[in-house]
Amino acid sequence: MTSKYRRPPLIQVERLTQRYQNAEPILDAVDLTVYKRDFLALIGQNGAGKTTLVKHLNGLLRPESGRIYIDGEDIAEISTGVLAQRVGYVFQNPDHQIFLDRVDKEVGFGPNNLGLSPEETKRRTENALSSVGLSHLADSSPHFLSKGQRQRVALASVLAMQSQILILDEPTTGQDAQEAAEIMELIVELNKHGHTIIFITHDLQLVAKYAKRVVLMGKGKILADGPPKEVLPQTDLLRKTNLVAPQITRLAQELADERLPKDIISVEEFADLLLRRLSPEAFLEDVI
Amino acid sequence: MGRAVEYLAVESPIHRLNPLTKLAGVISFFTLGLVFSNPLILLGIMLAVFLLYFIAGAGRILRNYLKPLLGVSIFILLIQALFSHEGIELFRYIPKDLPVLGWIGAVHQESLLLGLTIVTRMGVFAFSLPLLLATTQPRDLILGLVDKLKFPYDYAFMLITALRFIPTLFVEMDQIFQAQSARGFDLKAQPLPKRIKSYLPLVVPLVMTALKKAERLAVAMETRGYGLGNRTYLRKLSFSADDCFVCAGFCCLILVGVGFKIMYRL
Repeated sequence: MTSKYRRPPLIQVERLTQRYQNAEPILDAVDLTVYKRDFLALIGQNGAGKTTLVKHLNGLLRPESGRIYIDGEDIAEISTGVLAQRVGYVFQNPDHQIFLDRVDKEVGFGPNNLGLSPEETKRRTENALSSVGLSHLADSSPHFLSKGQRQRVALASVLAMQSQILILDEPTTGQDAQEAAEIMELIVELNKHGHTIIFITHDLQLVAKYAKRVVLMGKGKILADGPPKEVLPQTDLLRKTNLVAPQITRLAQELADERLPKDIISVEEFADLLLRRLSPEAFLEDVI
Repeated sequence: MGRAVEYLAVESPIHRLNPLTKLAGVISFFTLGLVFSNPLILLGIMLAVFLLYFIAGAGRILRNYLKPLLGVSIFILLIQALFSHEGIELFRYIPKDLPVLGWIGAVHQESLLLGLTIVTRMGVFAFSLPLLLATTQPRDLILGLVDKLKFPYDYAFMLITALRFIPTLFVEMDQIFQAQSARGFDLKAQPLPKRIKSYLPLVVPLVMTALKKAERLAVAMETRGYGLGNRTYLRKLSFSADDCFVCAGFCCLILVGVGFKIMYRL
């Protein structure tokens, strides 16, 4: 992985192995280093081990063998409750978390568990709700909100814990295009404010647009790790793990023109190149 | 624990039997368990049931059940040994003349025998039913009950659906527990007086999820014509020679058992 400057590692996973009931290992001696302020997308086919891997980071799962360090500290002896302060995990299904009758009480559940004062809890709740755009629904019952709104309540609940590291499991599934964009913009803001982001997704267009680093997993191993421009154009590798590269990448590669660079991952980039190729100067260049 | 009521998809002579035969078997075991009071005979019946588990390839399920049942059995025997004083003294561990403790100070024969009877009878009951569930697909059980025995379809469906969703709810519970733990929820850290209330973050999502599932299931069933009237069945269950043989076997067993009981006052 190219790093322009030496950053201290925030999370270090060493030879992590995990299996369920004596079957094939779900994680096979996985090594991964996550740096502070990383914006990392974890991709791979279903069953590749993505969710299993990240569940080790907040202690929901404990390794069969291997070690995990956060901020240089081995987390094997630290309980999940304590780790929640440093590692926030937003689950895919909000209905597994929602149990109170008011949105603001729901969002305040996390801070209360951390033992914060009522004033601090209230402050964090208000901040979290305005971040996800649900301040106007603070006193509604979460059970009567739409699925997309409930997902944002769940997101706000975790944001209120103000954890340094945020893990999001499929944050845009079930959201319409605008909602998905709003959530990703919010996550970008959080990353700018210093949070380290790890998100799992199947939407490679999203990865191309927002991620600064992509980790591709397959059958319990890490197959690729680098900036999106490095990982996403490897269509053959992606196909091996049942993934399909972004449409624009595939189009650019199918055109098989030596003048087109091989690592196009965004429509804007492609359009830009085409326009330049179609300019009168370029035309003359080809002819002469 | 949800796995205890699941169907185990394995090939075995017991799996091939008609579900009604197996149901008759369970009823027979229950009957035998009630007819006899001798712990040795009850133990024999229980071991026969164990043998059937191995024939059915369901040893794993048997093991899941053994530990909790062993725990309860030891508890019952302990209560009987300490607090029940029928019959002759077998073993005294606190001298008789001690003012209060002298009363409980000995294990008595009849009490212990009663304890053993209770424990072995419980074993017969507790082990025979899961064997039925492990070797019979729920839909076959409904089919048998409704088609041949004219059991009302609604009740049979309710029973089977309830059984079928138990493992699902255990999985949901697990996910809910993980989701709440990720928010800093720590069950063990809650003070004792607030213990029951502290289960709310786990119970409410589970109940909501279960209710929503039920609602969706109802809609799915209705849109596929549930409740229109007499339904027909794609599959038909048959009785083979093995079924007749096994049923006859159980009948004989019960008759012989009752006969022995009357003759020898076991």
